[in-house]
Amino acid sequence: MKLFIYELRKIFDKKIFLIVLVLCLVINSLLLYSSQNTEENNLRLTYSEEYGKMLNEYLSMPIQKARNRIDDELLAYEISGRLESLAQADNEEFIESCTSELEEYKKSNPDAYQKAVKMNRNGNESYWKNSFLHDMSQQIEYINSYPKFIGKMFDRAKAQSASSIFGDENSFSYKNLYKTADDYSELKDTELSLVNSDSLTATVKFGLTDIFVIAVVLLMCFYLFGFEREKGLCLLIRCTKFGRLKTIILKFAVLFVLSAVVSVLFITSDFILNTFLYGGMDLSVNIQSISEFRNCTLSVTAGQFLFFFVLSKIIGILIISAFLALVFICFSSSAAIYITGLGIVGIEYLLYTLIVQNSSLNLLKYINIFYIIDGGEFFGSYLNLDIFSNAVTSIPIVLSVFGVLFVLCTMFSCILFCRCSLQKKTNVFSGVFEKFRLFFFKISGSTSILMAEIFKFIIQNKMAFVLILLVIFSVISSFGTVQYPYSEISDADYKAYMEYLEGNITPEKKSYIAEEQKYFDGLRQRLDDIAENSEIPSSTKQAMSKSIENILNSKGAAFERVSEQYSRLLKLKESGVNARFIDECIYSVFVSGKTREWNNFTLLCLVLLIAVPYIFAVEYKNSMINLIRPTKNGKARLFVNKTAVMLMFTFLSFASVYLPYLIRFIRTYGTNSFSTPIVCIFKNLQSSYLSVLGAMIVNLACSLLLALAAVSVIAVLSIITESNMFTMLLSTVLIIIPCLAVYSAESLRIGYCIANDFVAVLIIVCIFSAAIFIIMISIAELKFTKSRIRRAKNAGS
Amino acid sequence: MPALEIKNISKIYKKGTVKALDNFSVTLTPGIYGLLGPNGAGKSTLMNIITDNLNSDSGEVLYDGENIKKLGKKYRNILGYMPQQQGLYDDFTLNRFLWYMAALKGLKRREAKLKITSLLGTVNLTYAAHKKLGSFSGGMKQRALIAQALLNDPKILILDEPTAGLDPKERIRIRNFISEIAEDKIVLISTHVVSDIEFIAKEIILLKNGKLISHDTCSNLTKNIEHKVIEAETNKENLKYFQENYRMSNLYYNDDKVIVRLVTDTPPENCKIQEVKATLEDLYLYVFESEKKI
Repeated sequence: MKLFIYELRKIFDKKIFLIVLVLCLVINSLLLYSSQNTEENNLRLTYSEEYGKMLNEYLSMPIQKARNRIDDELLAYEISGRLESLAQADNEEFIESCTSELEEYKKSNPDAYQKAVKMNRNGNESYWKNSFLHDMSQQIEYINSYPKFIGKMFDRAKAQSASSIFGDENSFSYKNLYKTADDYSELKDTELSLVNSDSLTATVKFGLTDIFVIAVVLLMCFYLFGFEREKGLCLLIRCTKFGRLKTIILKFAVLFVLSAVVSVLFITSDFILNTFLYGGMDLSVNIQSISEFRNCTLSVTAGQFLFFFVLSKIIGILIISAFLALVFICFSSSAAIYITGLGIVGIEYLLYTLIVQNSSLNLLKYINIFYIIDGGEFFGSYLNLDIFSNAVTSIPIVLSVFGVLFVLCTMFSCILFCRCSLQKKTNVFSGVFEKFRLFFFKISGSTSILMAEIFKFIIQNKMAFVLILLVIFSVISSFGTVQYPYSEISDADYKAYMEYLEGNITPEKKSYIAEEQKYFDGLRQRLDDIAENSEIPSSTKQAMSKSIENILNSKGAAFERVSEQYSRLLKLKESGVNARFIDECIYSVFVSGKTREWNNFTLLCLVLLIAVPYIFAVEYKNSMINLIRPTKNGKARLFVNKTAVMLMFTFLSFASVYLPYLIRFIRTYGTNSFSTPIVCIFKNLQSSYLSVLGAMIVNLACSLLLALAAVSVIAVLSIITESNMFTMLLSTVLIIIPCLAVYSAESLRIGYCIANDFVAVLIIVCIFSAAIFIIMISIAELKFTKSRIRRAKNAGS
Repeated sequence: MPALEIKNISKIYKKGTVKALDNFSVTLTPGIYGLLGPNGAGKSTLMNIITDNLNSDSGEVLYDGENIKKLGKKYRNILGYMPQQQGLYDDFTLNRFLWYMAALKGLKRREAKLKITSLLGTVNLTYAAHKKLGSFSGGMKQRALIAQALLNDPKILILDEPTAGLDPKERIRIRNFISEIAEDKIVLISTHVVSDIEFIAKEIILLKNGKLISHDTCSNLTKNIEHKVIEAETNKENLKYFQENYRMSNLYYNDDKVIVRLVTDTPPENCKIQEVKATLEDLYLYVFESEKKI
């Protein structure tokens, strides 16, 4: 027990752990709040108490009665709306039709009509009530449809099995049909009721919490498995009686207990916040009362489902923690740990999110740790997996696979920890290589600090490898990024038009447009003529009309876009802009591609946070800082050289990430349209001084400034924490997690600001980034060159 | 010749609970100084302050009358430092490491090459120059650290346990080398191995609990305990008594008798005693180990 407490204290004695935990909790709560505090949710949040009261009112009556009451109320609101429209109308035709409609209402629903009149007189205050009534009406409709949904399962299975695709009794499809029907039949007597479920659904759907929990688990793994190795304490511990198997078992015990506790803490905070926002929920209703969980086949209440949800999170986090612990034990290099650990977790995440349900690769989607962590899907939906043509419920399969993985990870970790040998293995070539080196060896070198720092960083710390990988990855991922972004039927024709029209507006192009306009006007006229011609048989009429309509729907729609664009360009020309034709589809993505911008920046930050700690923090790891600082050039000059290396790497990485796409784009589409003003691309943009090239340069410049700000933060962290791994972890929390949080906020992009001419925003971003860079570098310089060494390292005698 | 003046240096850790140095003052002129003191005396703290790795809470360090903080780079240019328990770049070869340190010390290329070649010979590591530091033994690492400390031909040489981990032959070699070069240098050696400094140090500085106890030549210091070092003849049964009540610097067996070497103000009665010449080790014991009163 004592050793368990000591292992626990290794984590809790670190103030930074508690700070990070609290910080993550706070940021998580803020992000949750901002994700809920949207315009759509505004009414629901503002009047959550009233919603609760309304719901309770209808809960107290039988469902059919509640439905009738709600329908009456909604009708009253509809009539009230009509009365209001009538009062404001000035169109005689509209007044006439509205009046007759109201007369109908008065006759058929006099109570509702009277209520509506009263509402109008009182000023129609509670528009939120209308919204809530709709919501409850939808709930009741869902509740009423549920028995039918269950009942239809068998009928559907019978009907589908009659078709040839599902007809083979030994096939997965056939078995799946009947197993599904069987599993759902157990729910046929499930009683559903109205429920205020927003707090539960919001908690289940908010996925960012998992990232924070994983970040905290990563930190715990560092303190339990990485810290002692970094400090050279492993040798000391391993040569004691309980320093091997018992120690590793206790470390795992601490890791698992704390991972579970942290997981529960975060989920609980989410649920409490959502309860506070949306009001309390009756947890005793069956989970199927909530439409989002219609497909759940567990006969559990909402409270029990919440328990299963938390359990799935705990199971998922335990498996991830076991895996991360194995990575920490296998690898000694911080970069290798970070890349392997987070790389594999990242790949799992991508497989889970990007593979669709019906894909042939869906086993990779569902035999996936994030499927377990996504408790809402794991327990809340129904899925059978194809295991050798048998339909098997996903839950036991996935849990078995990951259960085995969990045991294996833990076991291997224990074995490696106990057997880890310091002996460096030599191979048969070592001796030959040694002689070879000695033969060519000369006492020579360079007295350039910059070259020495570049060697240390690029060669000794293997960052050349990281850079090469980055270039390869960027080049490969640029394939397919410049494909034409087809999204509508008319895109292909629009593209064809632009291939001819792109560039300056010449007289030839003007006459071409006029001819095309004539052609399409002629087609429309032809269509009208055909419709009016009674001599043509209807079938012939239909065929003729169809062929003309097809042309109008594709090429015609494309020409309409061209024509609109042309009108806009003419207006721009009148206002003095050098308006030119430009393919809006390609260049809108080029100038403001939101996903590409996010991908590039996040990838760049990831590479920087893996590499930059090796510039500064590495000097503290082996206490070389004590030797370096008392030298002539060991303070300011060394700092300048290290900063130069850091900036060089940043620029190289930046170029590696951003250039491949640009080069590929230029090779595919050329540079003819680069001088076109971007006002020619974006309909909403009224004025801008930027051309396509200018927009690209502004985008790159802003991205570079942001990257410099990020890299300066990483540099400061590496000097303050004096640890590679710790810097990577903290940088992940401070830089990567916010990047993940803004993924869905598409307006938080430089391209978006350019496309909407938010010049002030861009200027502020640039100034802010530059300020952060200057301040952080100043702090880094001060800390690196300041005379300060911790007592523990040097004042031992 | 410029002197290094350490004036009223104090350093406190842990919010005032630990006083590592307490108003320490000493003036060092060219020559070898031995810094003696038990663990926690403040030796490393003093060395870190002298090498500008640590800020003192009060007092100043002056070189040639100027504050070393003001001198900055100029001071570090004439400084050579070898810390104890120092880590190295495991993936660097010794050659590359020395070139890197030469770059940091501001040496020109030609000068660096001459120095590195010469120092590799001095520390007997020419054969290992192409090997990685990670493969070095403890003693080899020590020698590599000595070599880097001497790269810039420093006027002030601070050596923290320079012979730790070296075999006797290497120890003598390094000791003799330090003696050779110390003529025009201020060399401050911190060590627990008294024999390292006993015969080469100009002065011995005794440090205890952050305070300067004494600093004088070895002969003057040992004179203070001239009549206090004795060898007493006793037997096995009484050995424990001597161990518990006297400062015992040595014991050896002579047939069935036990000869104990004691450093004491009050020699024992009822046994055969003989005064012997005091050594620095006896002085160390006398100053730093309290004697239990009978």
